[in-house]
Amino acid sequence: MTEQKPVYSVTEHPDMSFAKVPHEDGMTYEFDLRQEVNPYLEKIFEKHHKAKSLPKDPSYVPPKRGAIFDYFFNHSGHVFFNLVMKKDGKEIGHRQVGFSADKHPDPEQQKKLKIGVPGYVFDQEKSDPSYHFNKTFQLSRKQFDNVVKFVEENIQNPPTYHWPCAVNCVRFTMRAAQAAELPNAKLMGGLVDLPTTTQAYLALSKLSEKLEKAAKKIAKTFSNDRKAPMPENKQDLTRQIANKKAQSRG
Amino acid sequence: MNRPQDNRFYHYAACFLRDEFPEKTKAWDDAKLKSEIDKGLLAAHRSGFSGEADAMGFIDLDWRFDGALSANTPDDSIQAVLDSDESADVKLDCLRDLYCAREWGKMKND
Repeated sequence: MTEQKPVYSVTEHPDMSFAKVPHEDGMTYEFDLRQEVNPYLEKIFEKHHKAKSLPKDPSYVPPKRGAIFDYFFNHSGHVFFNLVMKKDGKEIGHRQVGFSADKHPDPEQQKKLKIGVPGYVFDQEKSDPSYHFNKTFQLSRKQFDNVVKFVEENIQNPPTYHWPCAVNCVRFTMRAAQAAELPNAKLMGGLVDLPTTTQAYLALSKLSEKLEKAAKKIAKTFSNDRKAPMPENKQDLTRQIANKKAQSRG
Repeated sequence: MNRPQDNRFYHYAACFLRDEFPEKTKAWDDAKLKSEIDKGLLAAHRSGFSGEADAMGFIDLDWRFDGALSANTPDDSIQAVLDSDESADVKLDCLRDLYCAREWGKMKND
């Protein structure tokens, strides 16, 4: 019998129905933060966290955004989280949630996607979870429901981020952590014990948000239906006048 | 004489730039700010960003890149984006990515 290849659920939103089971005594909830190890820190992570790096070919096609985007996509850390539901210590529900910037197989859908749909289920992580750094936070049912609500809202209204993928991954996860009211998650770089690269991503994420806000402001205030003013270029005018004079002499 | 829509553009452009770049603009009076907007507009038109939103996006990024977009000879990465066949809004997205990537480079070197 041939081994069945894992199915990568590109651009699919996670099914959150597992999270609708009513609370019962003995049920516990976890927010399991995961991060791919940055190649720069691979050795440290192998030693201290028993982590290994991601396979080079993640078996799905990254979006073509030029060399810089590809650099980030291939060399930086994907950050995502698992929502876990347990009963008497045994897992009864589990979903991986993260930000995706995948291509959609349908070109028509791809046009609509721009870049980024949250909710990519990281099947690849399922097949070998050992290479990821992780930190598990215990949640109350209320916190758990808040994260589920956050994910569902983002599925309904996906953000269209344009920035390097890893930054989006961090930002999406950070916002989910904020929804869960995790300790220190409100502070930039405050997600405790994350690798230093993540701190840098968070700083970059802040910068990206600034740019994003500026772009939104521009889109709200200005329209391409109107031409922007064409100021007089004094040098051009001087040249035109000189040309006219030369023509009139000729 | 300015068209009414031009006056509107200059007004909102000035508000936007004062809001986004308070340090840079605080010592400038309105005339100086307008002349800077004009410089940006000329460069924007020259690079094919002629709609109001596209031109404003261009000026915004030009300021963030310290004038690298409006320079007579932008560096190769910026020039490649400006010369590409993409639409103006995609070019602006690419320039934003490029800006983030450069800042990222600076952070790594700090």
